[in-house]
Amino acid sequence: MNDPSTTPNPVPNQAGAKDILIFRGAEYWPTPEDVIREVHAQGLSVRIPRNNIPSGLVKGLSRIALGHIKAVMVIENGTEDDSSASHRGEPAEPSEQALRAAFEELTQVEGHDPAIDEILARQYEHAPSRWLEMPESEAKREIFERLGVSFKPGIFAYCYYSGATYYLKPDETGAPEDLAKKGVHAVRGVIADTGELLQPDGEQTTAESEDA
Amino acid sequence: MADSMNQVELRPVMRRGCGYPKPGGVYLESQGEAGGTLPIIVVIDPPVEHDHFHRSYVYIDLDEMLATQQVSFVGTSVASAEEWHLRQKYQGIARDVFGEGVRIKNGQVIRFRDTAARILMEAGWRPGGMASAMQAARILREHVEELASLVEITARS
Repeated sequence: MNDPSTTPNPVPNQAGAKDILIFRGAEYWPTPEDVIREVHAQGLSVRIPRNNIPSGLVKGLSRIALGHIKAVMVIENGTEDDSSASHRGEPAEPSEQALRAAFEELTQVEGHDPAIDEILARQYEHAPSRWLEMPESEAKREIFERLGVSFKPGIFAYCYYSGATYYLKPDETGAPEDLAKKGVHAVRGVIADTGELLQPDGEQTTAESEDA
Repeated sequence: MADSMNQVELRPVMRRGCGYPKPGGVYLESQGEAGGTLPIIVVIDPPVEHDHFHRSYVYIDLDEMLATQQVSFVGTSVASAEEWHLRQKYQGIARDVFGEGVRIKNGQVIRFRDTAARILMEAGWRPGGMASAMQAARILREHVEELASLVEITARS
């Protein structure tokens, strides 16, 4: 684990505040677009260890960069057009067009998965997620192998930090003193759909996001 | 919204990818506000390669990273939010029918909703109350083969 407290002299950004990076785990957010969808719907919320709250974050100025293990797509094998360009001395830049063309070909096959058409037609803010979200099939594996498609970790977005929140346990009425001194805001969480209070180990709590 | 007893803010929360917030946990947040000036999210195109997977957070020099990558910034849309809201509504039904560890496939949420609605209509089902919800789940389970192609087993199963 990379201990943030050992990071030497984090550099303030142009606004004079510090920025941080967190990764969203592929187990809970299979694609970066899943993270984007969630943030659009209900903002960003990242659990951190309560004994290791970052210093130097400024509301509205600090940025929380979002990383994902499949954020960057690499296409190693160029298209015929790319090869021609290379022969002409122009830069050969393998194109995502080849990937789209390959999946569009699949839609011409009778009995193909209709999800392919829908995913081709959808709007994506993180373009590589379109290809990650294509249904798994032998044809998809063949296309990825032929074009040399792979994915790498990277940063795909950022959000502006708006504060740190402590979720009260049922028997608490305020944030613990050490957290309150650091400006951590206490809230009592209730399930939006049912109005139930959040329980420490209740059924509704499914997973830790601290390491996600 | 405030807790009338001690003026603590009541925060309605919805399930996220990692579940619900945990009482006793500290969370860094970025919350957009209607009419606010901060974008809820800024998507970077192309994404910036970063080889080190970090658990928890690390400080970074984001300005430097962005400057060296010549990225552009993608405008945001409401399409992703609409997809997310639909998924929250119908994912629970998928779990009722298929069990935990099953997820509606990406791009199949609307088809799942329409197929489930058709099955229920054809069975003469009428909404209303817990018994009705249980009955709906039972009807859908009887037609599980029509919904099966729209869901997938997740890593959490």
